[in-house]
Amino acid sequence: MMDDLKTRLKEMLTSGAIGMVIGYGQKEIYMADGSREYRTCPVFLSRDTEIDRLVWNRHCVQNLVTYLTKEEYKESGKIALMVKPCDLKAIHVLEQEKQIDRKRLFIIGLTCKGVMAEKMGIDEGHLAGKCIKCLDSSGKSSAVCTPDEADIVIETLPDGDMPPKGKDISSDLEGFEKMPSEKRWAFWQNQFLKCLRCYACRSACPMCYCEQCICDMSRPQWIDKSPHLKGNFLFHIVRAFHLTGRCVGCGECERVCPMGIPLMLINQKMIDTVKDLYGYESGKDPEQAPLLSQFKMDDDQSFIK
Amino acid sequence: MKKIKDKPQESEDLLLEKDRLWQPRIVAFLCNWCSYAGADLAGTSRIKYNPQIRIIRVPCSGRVNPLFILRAFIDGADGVLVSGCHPGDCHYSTGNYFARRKFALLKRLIEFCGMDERRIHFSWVSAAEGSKWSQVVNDVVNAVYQAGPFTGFDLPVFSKETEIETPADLCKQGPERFAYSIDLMSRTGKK
Ligand code: SF4
Ligand code: SF4
Repeated sequence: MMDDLKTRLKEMLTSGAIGMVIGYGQKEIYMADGSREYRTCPVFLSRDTEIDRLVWNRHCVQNLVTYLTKEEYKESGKIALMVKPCDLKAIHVLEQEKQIDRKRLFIIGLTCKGVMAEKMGIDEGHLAGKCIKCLDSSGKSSAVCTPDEADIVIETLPDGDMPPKGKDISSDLEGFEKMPSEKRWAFWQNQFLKCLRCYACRSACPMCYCEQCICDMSRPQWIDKSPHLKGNFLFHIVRAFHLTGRCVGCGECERVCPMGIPLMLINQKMIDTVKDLYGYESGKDPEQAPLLSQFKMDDDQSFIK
Repeated sequence: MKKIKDKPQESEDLLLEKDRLWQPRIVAFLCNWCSYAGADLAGTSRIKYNPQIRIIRVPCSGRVNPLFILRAFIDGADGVLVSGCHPGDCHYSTGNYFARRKFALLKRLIEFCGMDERRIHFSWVSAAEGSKWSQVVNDVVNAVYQAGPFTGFDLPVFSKETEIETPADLCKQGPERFAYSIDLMSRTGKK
């Protein structure tokens, strides 16, 4: 199946039907003990001779949808994109917010049975949190892109065994919410104090596409730029709030954070809250109106005096 | 040149005295058309209420960016109140309906982060509700009094006692909080 895809992509590239393929490619990393291991990294291919670099395996954890809104790829013609079933949600949100033109996109839908949790190129040795959620909720052992959303569907599963499940962030969430509020505040103080303000979380997020982020504004300067507690706290609350009702839970922000801040804890809380209060799930349907630009007459107002 | 002397250590009595004299600082965002007029009515009807509230007039409760509320806390407020027209009475028809969603989500978010729920309040006060306004202000001031001064942005002191155990021991706390990255660095790297 992968071979069919490669031939087809080569044809499309030579005929000019697509301008670029964004997919997963292999990379080699060196471990501390001198051994070599293979991981994947995003590759951007615009020549047919390069197409053989594409791979599909359980290390393909990145959400490539992020690149669609980047300035560099807006000019490169039609883009063929390798998309896992969970990444489709991010495409839906971008469509809903009129950030991408579906006609400029050729979606290669993958069939997935879970990818590895990974941190800065290091395997954590178990399934990513989002995969545990996805597979548990569907009750199946694999997830498929449906053909009406994808332009071409790859039905072969990646080789290799399923990694062990590991822990899921939402089970932590319940216990976390039971802690007294001072403890929770102290926990986030400690976490946010670590933040370097490298904005890797912002760069990796498919939903953070603003050309001028409020964190970079200096007139007025809402959010202090230096990495101290006040600025960091504000940055993180604003980041979480701007993604409320938009975050699709892809886990990229947490994966790329060099300081190991558990950003998914706060994201998952907001995903649950939105579902609980308004029955809204982000990325479910490209046609629905964004959460904060709609209202219902009977929205909850029990907290308002 | 004059030498700057070290500040004398504050005695315990003085600190207690300071505590007693502490007054909450509360920032209130009022919409121009209802709540601000309501507060005005309370004034002209000579209704007494607690004076610890600083009013900022905004065109509509929908104009209140959640960032305003957070920024107020950063800049030293102990509590925040946001007040607008009752649903259906908005001068711009639907501003407060949109605001209601934002406020519900913001409240859940910052309470999840551990903010005391007594510090953040929302109310609907119409231009005719002068007495409701005074009641709301008194309630808010009382609640913030009970919550005490807001010290959430003071730097935490790391010691064994402040070590936090989370249910799943999510991440390392205290002085070893950088251990995570160091651990990662030791696991990779070219030879
Ligand atoms: S906030 Fe994190 S989990 Fe949510 S969409 Fe962005 S990168 Fe993905
Ligand atoms: S990636 Fe991590 S350290 Fe960098 S800005 Fe985001 S939270 Fe802070």
